[in-house]
Amino acid sequence: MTKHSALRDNALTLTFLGIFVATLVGQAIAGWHQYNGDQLAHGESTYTFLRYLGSSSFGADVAENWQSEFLQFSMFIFLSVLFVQRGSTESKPPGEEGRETDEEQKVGRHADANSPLWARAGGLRTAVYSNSLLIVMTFFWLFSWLVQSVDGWRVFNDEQQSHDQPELGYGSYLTGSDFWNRSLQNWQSEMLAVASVLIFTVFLRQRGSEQSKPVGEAHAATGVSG
Amino acid sequence: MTSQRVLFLSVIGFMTLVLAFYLVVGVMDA
Repeated sequence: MTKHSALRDNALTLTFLGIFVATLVGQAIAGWHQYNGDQLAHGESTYTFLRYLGSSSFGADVAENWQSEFLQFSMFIFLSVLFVQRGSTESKPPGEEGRETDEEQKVGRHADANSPLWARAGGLRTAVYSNSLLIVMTFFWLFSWLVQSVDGWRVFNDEQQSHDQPELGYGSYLTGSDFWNRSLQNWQSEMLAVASVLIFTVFLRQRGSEQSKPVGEAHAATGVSG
Repeated sequence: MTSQRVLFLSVIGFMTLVLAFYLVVGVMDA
C-alpha cells in the first residue's frame, strides 16, 4: 500500500493554487501600476494598492477571465456527454455518446458500497448529483459573468466620465460593445484551446502525463490516459 | 473530514467570497 500524505495526495491542486495566487498577485501589482498611469495621464488622483484591490477595475479584470474559464469547463463537460472525438484522451470512445445507463453510471440500485450517498438515494437527489459538476461550473460561470458585467460597467462609466462622455445605464452597457468585446475575446480563446487539446491528444504524447495517452498507444485509441 | 474535502470546500468558498466581494464593490460604486 502506498503511503498517504495530505500534501502528496493533493499536490496537483495545491501546485495550481500556488501558481494561481502568485499570478493573481502579479496581476494586481501590474494592474495597479497601469491604473495609476492612466489616472495620471488624465490628471486624476491615484489609488493606493489596497484601494486598487478593492476597486471595480481589478474586480472586472479578475471576473472577466474567470467567467471564460468556467464557461469553457461547463461547455466541455456538457458537450462531451453528447459528442466524441475519436482518438482523444479528452473524449469517450465512439458509440458511448449520451448519458449512459444507470448500470454503467452506478446509479440507484446499481450503486456499490463505495458509491456516494446521493448516487444511491434516487429521485431528486440522484438527479441533482448526476449533474452536479455541470451545475457548479455553470453557477461559477454565470456568477463571474455577472460580476464582470457590473464591475465592467463601472469601469466603462469611469472612462466615459474622464473623457467627458455620457454614462450608460446597466441595461445599455449589457447590449453594448465593451461588454461583448470583453466577453467574446475570452470565449474565442477558450474554444480554440479546447478544440486543439481534443485533436492534438490524438496524435501527440507527453510521457507520464494524465492528459496524454501512453507514448506507444495507438492514435485511434479513445479516452485512454496515463 | 478528509484533506480532499477540505480543499474542495475551500476552493468553492474562496471563489464564492471573491465574487460576492467584487459584486458588492461594483454595486456600491454605481
